[in-house]
Amino acid sequence: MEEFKCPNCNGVINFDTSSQLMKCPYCDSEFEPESIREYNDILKNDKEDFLNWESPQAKWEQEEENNIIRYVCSSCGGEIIGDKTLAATSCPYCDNNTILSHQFSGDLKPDLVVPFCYDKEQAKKAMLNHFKGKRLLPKTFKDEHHIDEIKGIYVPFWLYDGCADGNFRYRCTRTRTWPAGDYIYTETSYYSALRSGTLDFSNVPVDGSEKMPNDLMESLEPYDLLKAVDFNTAYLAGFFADRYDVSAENASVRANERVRNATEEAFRSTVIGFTSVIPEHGSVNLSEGKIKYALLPVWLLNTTWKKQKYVFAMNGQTGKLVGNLPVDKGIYHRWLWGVTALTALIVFLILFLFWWF
Amino acid sequence: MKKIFSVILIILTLLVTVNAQGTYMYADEYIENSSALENKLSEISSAYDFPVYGAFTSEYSGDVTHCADRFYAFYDLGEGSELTGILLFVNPEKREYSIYIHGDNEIFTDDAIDLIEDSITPYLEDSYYYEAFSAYADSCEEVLSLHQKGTPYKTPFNWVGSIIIALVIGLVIGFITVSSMKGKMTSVRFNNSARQYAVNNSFNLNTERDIFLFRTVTFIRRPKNNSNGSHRSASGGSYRSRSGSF
Repeated sequence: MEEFKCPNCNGVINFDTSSQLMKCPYCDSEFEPESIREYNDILKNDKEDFLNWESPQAKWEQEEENNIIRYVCSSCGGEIIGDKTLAATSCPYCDNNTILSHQFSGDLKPDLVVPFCYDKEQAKKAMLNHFKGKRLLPKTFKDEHHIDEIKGIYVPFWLYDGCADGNFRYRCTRTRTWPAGDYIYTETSYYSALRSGTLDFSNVPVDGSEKMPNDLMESLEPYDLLKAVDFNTAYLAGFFADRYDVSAENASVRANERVRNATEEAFRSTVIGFTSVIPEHGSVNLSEGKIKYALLPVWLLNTTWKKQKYVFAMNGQTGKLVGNLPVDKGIYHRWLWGVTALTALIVFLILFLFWWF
Repeated sequence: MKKIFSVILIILTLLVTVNAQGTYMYADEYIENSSALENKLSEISSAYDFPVYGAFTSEYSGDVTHCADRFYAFYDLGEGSELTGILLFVNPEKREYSIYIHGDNEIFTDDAIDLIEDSITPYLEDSYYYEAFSAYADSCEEVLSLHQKGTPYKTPFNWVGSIIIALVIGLVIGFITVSSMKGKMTSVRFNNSARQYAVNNSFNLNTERDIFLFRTVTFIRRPKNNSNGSHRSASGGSYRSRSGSF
């Protein structure tokens, strides 16, 4: 388990989204993540208490079959319970942020991480903004809903690079008509359009956590992966994190589907000048495939209204917030019949005036 | 004796001439009560100072509107400098009709022609030719009467049809509006394409071939031209017409 101490006052420090530095909430000192990492490594070598972490491992082995793992907080000794994918959390007793660095060691180590750029307060404000302009939202939702939980989570993602080699065939028609005498003639010419070529893809994301709904994660796209940095556990301080539990191989099914759809769209757009175009056959081969493991920032907000749970998610880098809202049926029908009546009245008046004049 | 015979001959000639010049109903085919139709059309023409003619003949071939035009010119129909008048030309053999209006007038508008056409077509379809010409005369009288009063004929406002059209359009617009609003309530959806992750300028099209396979040609008969547009007539001047078959 890992936590980062302030070199000034020895308090536990967190990653600050606005300054993108490690900040101590007690003495307001700010440090580069790399510096804190090095300092932390030094502290690790000095402290004898770290020898104690071996004993919790004995306890994990007992209950690992049940997928529940127990940890002991190194600050207060409190017991932290999590599943096998838990990688960063906070102690429920002393609220210290702890990072389970073994979840990111060896083969499990992420290649990249995109740091949070938005904090919890900004996430709350974004949710309130999300309600604005939603005419079908029940009036009581804004007032009566309560936020159960706001969590900043680093979600594990697989990023796929590759080159798509596509081969497509389309059945196309071109028509022309002309009058001659008492008849109208229509000539239809049939063509077979062949297209083949390559298209490169970079960083196609697929979330590697079974707990995270795929549609929710895909709705948060895009992430600006040019701003991703090499993985450093320091960035996780103050946030939750899970390691992946969906393998890259399993996640590649979704990546392949998205790459195939995009390739089909790209080739289809080159078939122009026809009256109709119908795909007959297509194949996409992927090559030069590379996979990276990254942690991407997500703010998760769970809210309850009238005993129903609603989940909102915000892209921790871009601030894009998504989440389905309830529809008030009464307001829906009032709008429907109101617009119908008003439009019908206007159309009727236009028809009458047209007849009159 | 000779003098009496000459006088009788002159009188008969005059009668024929008068009858030929005053004819409003021309019938080369048998039509019952043609004299009654003649009287009716003559009365209407005199009362409203607008000649109303009828023709019932199979002797003309070709497009029925051109037949009506040739007929109008041949018999020197119409009054005034523009030879203004209206003619219902019916060919019973080809079962075609033409409502032909010569000269530029604002009396027989599209609504008025609709009225005439709607009144005659049910009778023509059942081959009730006397009734069709009678209905034509009645419709012309109605239009001319309204024009004399200063109110041109106008098709009555279709209340039921207009309400239905307005409601259908209103419902469509209403659904589109609330569907758009409802769409904003749902922001969680799958992103099925990786188009935004395609590397810029990496699209390389190696093969781009359009191979011609075969060609088909079909044809359909052109619909009859029932145009109301103004045309140049055989007798000079312009005409409008509405034609059809029954």
